[in-house]
Amino acid sequence: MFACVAVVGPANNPLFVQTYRSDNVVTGMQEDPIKFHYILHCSLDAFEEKASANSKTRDNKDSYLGLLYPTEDYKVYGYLTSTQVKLILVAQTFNAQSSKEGSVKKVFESLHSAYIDAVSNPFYTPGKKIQSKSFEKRVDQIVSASA
Amino acid sequence: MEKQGQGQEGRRGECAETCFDLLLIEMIHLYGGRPTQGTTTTTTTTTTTTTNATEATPKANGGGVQERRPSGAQERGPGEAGAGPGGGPGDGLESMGFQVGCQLGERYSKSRASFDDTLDIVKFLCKDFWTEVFRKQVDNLKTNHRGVFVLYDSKFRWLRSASAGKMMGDNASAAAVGAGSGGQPGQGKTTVGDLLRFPCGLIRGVLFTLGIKAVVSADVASSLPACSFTVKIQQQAK
Repeated sequence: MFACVAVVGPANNPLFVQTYRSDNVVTGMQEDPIKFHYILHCSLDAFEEKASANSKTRDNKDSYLGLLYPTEDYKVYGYLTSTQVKLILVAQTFNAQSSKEGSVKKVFESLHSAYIDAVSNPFYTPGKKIQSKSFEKRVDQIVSASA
Repeated sequence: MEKQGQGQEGRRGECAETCFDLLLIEMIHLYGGRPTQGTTTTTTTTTTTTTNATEATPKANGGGVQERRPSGAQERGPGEAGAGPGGGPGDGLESMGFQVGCQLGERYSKSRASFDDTLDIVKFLCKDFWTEVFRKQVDNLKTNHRGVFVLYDSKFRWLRSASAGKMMGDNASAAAVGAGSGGQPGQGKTTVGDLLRFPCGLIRGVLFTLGIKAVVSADVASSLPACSFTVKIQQQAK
């Protein structure tokens, strides 16, 4: 189950952040959305590390960067497109078995398609936040389908 | 059976292409041959109607360009800075091409994970992107290894039905247009240069999404369906 989905632009500008209701494992309280912003911010460094490591080994040319880093309660996965757009998924760890690597990659691929369709809207201004109901709906569908 | 299917497919493609040729001519008519104040509200409404008719095609973005004008101006390279918002004639066409290029660049590079360097990106433009948009690859790619690439296409698809005769008129020299040079089209006359403004912006847009800032200019020095695009890179990808 994913707790947060984010799209970050080439200049590390947030384009889209969506958090889903998730309860803290320990306290049972609902998580503060701000916490996810913090996690996303931290993950950007991990992105750069992974991306530069990937570019050194020439055979590993995949958009999917895999697990960026685990926090106490969450696992952060990353996906870097050829246009340097970063897609980030934050998954809850306690049901880690359900989110296999392959399925996470599939989720990223469908998110990427959704993102491309969203930016192809002629009324979207590049570099600005994506404020599209249909994109939101599609992301919701992708996330709930993967749960 | 199969052959018939192909024939239908071909005919449909031809129809779509003819429609696009006509749309391009209309676009040039509206945005290209006019003086600066040409892009007024009246043109906006006309373009929006076209947008509704040709939904989901790359050319359908005319409506959005009007809103985007200010931000588009910011993204421009120094070469164009002189033109200012609303710049010279044909400016709208170029920025329209730019927007479409950005979107198509995003879409067609989806299967590619990452690019090594600038040459890799230009190769992608010449092979994969050109095949998607023009159904053929670029015929010849030259570079001086210092950031200038010349893409030569011996049968540029969007010039198929253009003729060098009267259309170019006395303004044969105006055929050499550029995103930066701001070549003046003949007043009231459509030049081949006008036809190439949109593709110039298209190429610039693709390179922009992939992280390269460049100035693109087009040339039709030799016989007509052939044309070459000169890409001058201003800022390399990281």
